[in-house]
Amino acid sequence: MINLPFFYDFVFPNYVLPNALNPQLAIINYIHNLHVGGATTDSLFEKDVDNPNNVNHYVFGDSIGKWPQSLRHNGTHLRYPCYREFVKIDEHSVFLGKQQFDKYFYPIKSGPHLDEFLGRTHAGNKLNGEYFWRYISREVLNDLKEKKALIFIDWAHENFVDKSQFDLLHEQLNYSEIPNMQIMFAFNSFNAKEIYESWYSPGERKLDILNWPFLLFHNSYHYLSQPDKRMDVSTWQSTRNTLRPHHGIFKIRRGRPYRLALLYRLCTDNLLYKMDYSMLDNITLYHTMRMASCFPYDYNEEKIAELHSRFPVNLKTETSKTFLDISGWGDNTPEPSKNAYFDITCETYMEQNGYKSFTEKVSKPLVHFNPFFFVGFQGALALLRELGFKTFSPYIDESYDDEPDQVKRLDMIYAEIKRLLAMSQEEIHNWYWSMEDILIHNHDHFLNFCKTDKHTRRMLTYMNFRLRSS
Amino acid sequence: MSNKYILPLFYDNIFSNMILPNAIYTEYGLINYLHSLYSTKVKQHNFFEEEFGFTDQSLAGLLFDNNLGRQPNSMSGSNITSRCYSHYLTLDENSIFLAREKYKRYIYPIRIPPYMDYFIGTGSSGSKINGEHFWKHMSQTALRDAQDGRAIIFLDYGQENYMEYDTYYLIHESLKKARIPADNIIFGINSFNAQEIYENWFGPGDQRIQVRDWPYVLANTSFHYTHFKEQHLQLEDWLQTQHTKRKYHMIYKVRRPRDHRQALLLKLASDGLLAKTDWSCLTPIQCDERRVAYFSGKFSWPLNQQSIQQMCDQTPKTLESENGTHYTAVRTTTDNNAEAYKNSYLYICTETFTHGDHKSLTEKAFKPVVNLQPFVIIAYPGALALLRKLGFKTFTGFIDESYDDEPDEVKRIHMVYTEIQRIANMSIDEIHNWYWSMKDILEYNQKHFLNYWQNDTVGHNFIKYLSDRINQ
Repeated sequence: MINLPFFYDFVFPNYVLPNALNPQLAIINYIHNLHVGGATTDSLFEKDVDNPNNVNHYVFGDSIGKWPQSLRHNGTHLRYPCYREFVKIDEHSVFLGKQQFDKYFYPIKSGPHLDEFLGRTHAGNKLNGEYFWRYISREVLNDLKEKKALIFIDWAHENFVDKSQFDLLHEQLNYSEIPNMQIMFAFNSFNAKEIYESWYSPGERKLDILNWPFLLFHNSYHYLSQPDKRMDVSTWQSTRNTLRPHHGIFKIRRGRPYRLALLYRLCTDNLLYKMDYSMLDNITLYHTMRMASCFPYDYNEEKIAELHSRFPVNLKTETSKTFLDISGWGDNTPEPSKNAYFDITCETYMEQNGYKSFTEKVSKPLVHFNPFFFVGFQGALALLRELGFKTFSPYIDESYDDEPDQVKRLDMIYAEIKRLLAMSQEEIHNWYWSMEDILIHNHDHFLNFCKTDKHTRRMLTYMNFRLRSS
Repeated sequence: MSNKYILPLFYDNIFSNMILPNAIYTEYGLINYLHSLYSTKVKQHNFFEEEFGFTDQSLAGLLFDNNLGRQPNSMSGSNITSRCYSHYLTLDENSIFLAREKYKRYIYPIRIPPYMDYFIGTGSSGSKINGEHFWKHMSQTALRDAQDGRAIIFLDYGQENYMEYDTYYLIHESLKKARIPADNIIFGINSFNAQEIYENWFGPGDQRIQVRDWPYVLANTSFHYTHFKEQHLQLEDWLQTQHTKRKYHMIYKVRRPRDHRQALLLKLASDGLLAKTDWSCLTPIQCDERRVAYFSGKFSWPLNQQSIQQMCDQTPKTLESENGTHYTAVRTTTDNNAEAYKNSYLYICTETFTHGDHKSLTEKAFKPVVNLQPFVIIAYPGALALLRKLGFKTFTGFIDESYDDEPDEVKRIHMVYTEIQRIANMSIDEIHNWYWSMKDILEYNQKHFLNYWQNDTVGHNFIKYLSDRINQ
């Protein structure tokens, strides 16, 4: 068991104030703590973020970002139960903790919008220049200079940092006097460190980037520890003689260009009737069309307009879900998967600048016995195989995984989807069950992933090393 | 030691370089937050405590124009953290958020400033302090815990030793709408009989707090001098002075010239006795005819205006051996120059208060004790009797101590002064012999005092009471 001291500048009666939080938010949090009782997992402005009438927007408009630039949100992801066997996080105040420890981590849990965390947004907005380090206490800044503290930026739930964001981070740190490598930046990726180091020579590097494939690990634990969220093998096998009403399942919560492109192609080609699909995002037809047009196709605008008029659309088994209900953890029953033979699994981004990372999205077909198309970065299927999963060649032509161009890749995926949708129900039923061994293997391997994966253990060992070394 | 008491002392807010005092005004809390963000200059205590008593030029004076009190309404730390209790007490100082689940109940300490008005939320008419009752500045979590008995509010007045009836009354008024049961507020004060006085003044149905005797200053001063030996006269060094005549008959130290102190100073000046006294008055004083008449009337003393004026002109004045010290440099434990005590034979001690029924002792009475001087004490009646009860020896036979039984304040001060005059009229040889004839008492008193903190049963009882309340 590794023991890591995580210290916070300000501990209030109801929660730990997120480190490096904008003082304007902090002051309101302070007053909030004075008047509202009871321990909570989130600081004030983290609640109800997607609601346009939330308190952040009400008080500040859009001048300090949609999200607070630093979150409490129940503390670092390393405190999550999935890591309980490996690491103990000692949460302390800086003031009291320094009486016990010589060196400590100063965790910052960035909001999902990295640009907001970095103080970068459109011209004229007051968020520009709100660099996170300015809101670290002087006490901790001094400790960082003396290498008695290490910043741990926890971005475990996100998987993509582009070079311009690193450039901006480097630029703002130039003024901070925080020594190079005193900031550990960990996010949900298998190769973030390699990418960072390919972009910056040793002399240019300021950050200690950590590969932390949190989401796959956490999802594995999540489903393993909650059997009610999944089917076991025998229950699944008992559905062998039941035909499923849909060929495929296609879930969209937030509209993104490649997701809309795929959805609108299926609509244009009159194939949606074979799919159990959802589209929960409330965006205008104009915007969805603009997004879809990033992927050229002869879209039928009339049919799409008619489809759009029906939005939001739910999965057949999730009729009451809304955009706000569904998150990585709020959408995890096996029911929708029992209704279809394959899953169109759309990652957050299709183009990841070489980053290799999985969010919770791929977990669902893995645990729920579905073969899937992975609409994401090039090489995703190869990475899954590297992690011990099996993919679906020759049942699915997976050559799309090698295609570097995202437009071509989506074309290749769509061609395969169309092929499957052309099968009769009996054909696709047999096609599906002929992959039984692969589906069982993936299900079992996924549930064991949190017991066998070495990535997080490596990261924790390294963090411990950094803490103990002078 | 395995059978130590454990007290969880929890605070609402812990900042990067300080624990924010519980129940501090929000304005002070916010500025402390900003200070913590930008500076490490202030450590261990609240930013506004840097300035002892706000002035117009002080930061708080500028910011709030003295409309928010002359001190923060709540001070940093707790007197209970003094190391004089550490041999039988372990404190778990922590944040409510991080440690609340560790204990069934916790103590929520609030250290009250010397000026109680700011704490109670009662000021002069028109002042914005009115209504700023301390409990309104507790977090809602702590307030609810106090209402439900999960938290015990500990009002720490350990450094002060006197309460007026009206002050208790105002505390009661401020608590009227707090919905905190009387059982859940413990008021600890530096006194041996505060509980008895409070319970005499207020019947069970009228009480809104639990007053407890906590003679903290004596224990803390004892511990302090035990561990900072260089700050008091050592027995061996003292014995070597046995054949050295001292320059002054008396030593008389005044920092804050309360009425009884000033009156005595004026009288000594009027009677020409200051020449025989190593004296200080760290506050400049002015005594025009009207002031002299006031003191003359109040204390029934003939006073000499011209001599008084000469004395006033010398103020602020330090002791001969303390050149360079000043009002703000001298506090309870920073006034510890042992040299001064080798220069005179009698210590004139003036306690903070001379009226009322509270039996309390501050550090003032123990400076002559630890520095091997006999003393007269201008205090409440029975101060010497209390010292004897605590195991000290007084100076009957050498000093007429019948003044200690005199209930009338003015008569008592006159009786003390008569003794001062008598001793001041001794020749240097006489007073030298007089002084050394008390050698055994002086030695005994110093030893007894330095051991006191280890045998402080009243303090121990108080800690035990707190512990019982947490564990009941």
